[in-house]
Amino acid sequence: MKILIIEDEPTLAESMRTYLETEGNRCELARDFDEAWDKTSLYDYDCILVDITLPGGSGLEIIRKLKEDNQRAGIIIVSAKDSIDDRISGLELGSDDYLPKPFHLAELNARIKALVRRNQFGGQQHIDYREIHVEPLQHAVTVGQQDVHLTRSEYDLLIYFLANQNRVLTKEAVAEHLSGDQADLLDSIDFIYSHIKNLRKKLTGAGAADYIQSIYGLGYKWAPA
Amino acid sequence: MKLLQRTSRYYLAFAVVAFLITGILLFNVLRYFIDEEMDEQVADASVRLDHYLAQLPEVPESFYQLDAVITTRPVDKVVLPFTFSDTVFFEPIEQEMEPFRSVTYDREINGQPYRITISQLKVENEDLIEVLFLVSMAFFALFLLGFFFLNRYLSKRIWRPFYAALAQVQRFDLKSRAPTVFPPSTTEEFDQLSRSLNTLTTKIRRDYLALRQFTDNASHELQTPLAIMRNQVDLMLQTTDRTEEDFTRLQHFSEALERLKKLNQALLLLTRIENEQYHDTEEIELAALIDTKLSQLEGMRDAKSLLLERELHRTCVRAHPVLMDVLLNNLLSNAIKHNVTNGHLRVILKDRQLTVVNSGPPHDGDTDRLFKRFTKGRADNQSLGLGLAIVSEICQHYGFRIDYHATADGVHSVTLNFGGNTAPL
Repeated sequence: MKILIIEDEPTLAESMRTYLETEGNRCELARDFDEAWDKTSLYDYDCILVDITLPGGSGLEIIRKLKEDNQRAGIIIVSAKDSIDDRISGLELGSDDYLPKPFHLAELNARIKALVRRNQFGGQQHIDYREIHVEPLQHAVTVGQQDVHLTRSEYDLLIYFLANQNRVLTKEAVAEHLSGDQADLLDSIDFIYSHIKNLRKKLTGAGAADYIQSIYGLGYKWAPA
Repeated sequence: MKLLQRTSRYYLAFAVVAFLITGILLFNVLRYFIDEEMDEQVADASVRLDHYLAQLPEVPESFYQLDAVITTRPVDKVVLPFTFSDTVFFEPIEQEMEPFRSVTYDREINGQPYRITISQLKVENEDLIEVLFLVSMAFFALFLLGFFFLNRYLSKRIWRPFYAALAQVQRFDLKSRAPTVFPPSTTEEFDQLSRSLNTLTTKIRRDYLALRQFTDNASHELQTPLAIMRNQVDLMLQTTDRTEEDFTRLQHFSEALERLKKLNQALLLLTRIENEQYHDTEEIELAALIDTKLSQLEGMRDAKSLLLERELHRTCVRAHPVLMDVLLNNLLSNAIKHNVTNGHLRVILKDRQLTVVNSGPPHDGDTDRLFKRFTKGRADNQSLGLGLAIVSEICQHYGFRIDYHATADGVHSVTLNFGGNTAPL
């Protein structure tokens, strides 16, 4: 996938690029409004990450232009402002998602994958991981021939893991993914433990190998055993 | 006690004392002078009486002369000088005992010493004293009364700027957009007061705004470094050749970062509410929103195997969607977070009232402090203590009434009364 990262903070842009490129994507960076304007005018991307406050102009301008040009790229606003007005006007302008800073790279990655799946394959593209098969549109999961019935949280968790294979995911990142950004759950973060336990039990029960590894007290990793 | 009451009280006490002292003094002075005058008259009369008696062939033992009774009694020799005394005689005309002023003295009349007593009726003098006294006191009382009311009236009038300033101070709202202006006064002290209050409130307002601005900016500027740190941790975690110690350190780092992020997020939200950045309102149907929230929090709920009961009736409020979202989120996640395993959670929305009842360990802190910032139920928990402070801030913003109640056996209930939902314009 070809991804354009429009972000004026170099360290942030670099870490996004590093994470996304190890997923096999090709990333380009734009540091300010003009550079972003030029690149979006010249090239096509599968996904564009846009920061709202840019040197030289507003990211919202770029989104407006992209929509006028009928660009097929999925657009995710990545903003430190976390301003409601920006979120609303961004979504109204046609951005597909909004991710407030600070975010987890795994979350960004999962959002990009979900977005591309929606955008380019109408959600039809299924996810396969060895013996595990997921139909995103139906929220259906099968292991081999056997159906696995997952709760919404467990399903979300599975998709999140599959989007971030071979990655160490902290408990905080998982909890935030499951409960949303606003939930104040610092002291009850262990609730994810029971979800992971249930997911693991259901998958292995249907004959799948155990792919969820605990990484000390830190978090989890989806990887072949 | 009011200022006027206080001064009036002293004034009244003074008036009573002054009235009493003046009364007693006046009465005695009047009596003294009138008695003196009378004694003089009687003494004068005695000289004329002596002449008169000397001309009579025989000194009568007792006789009346105008309103005076005169008695004579022969004595051996002249010893007694003028001696005044008060006596009481039977007055045949009035048919009652009447007070008399008497003077007794010895005098030689035609070679024979007599003891003569002249007694003069005092009734008229007594009446005179009474009338004089009463009239004087009446005038005095009238004067005091007039003075009292004048003082009252003037006080009210003169103190008016003071009470106006006081009312303004009471209405003073740091968060209101319009600055409070204390009007100048022609009374120097009150003018000084007004000017001092103006300076003071301007300074307080300026400091408050600066502080608010600072919090807003600081929280804002913190977002980017937080994002950088978080992403760096994420990347560091992906390097596989790490020791367990490295991971433990990274975990501590990540947890601390999480706290910082949440703290910043909460402070940012509070500042935004205070900055009136959520002034737009729209009609929000709560039952549906609560349903959405409950399913969002399903993960946390399932982990504790909570029994959920809900009774949601259609209820609309006018508010900003984000604030209502945060309000319900904090309220519900709080009820789940502080719950016990296999506990219960009951959400009732009816009669413009939302009640969230949950089981949980008994809350041992001060329930009033629960809605203050950085108040934690238990010392060992990691939460920031900002969740309910935000709830309280939002309720205040929209004029919702919030009540918290806990029983000894650990049933907690928070009731939100939307009332008439007087949303700010």
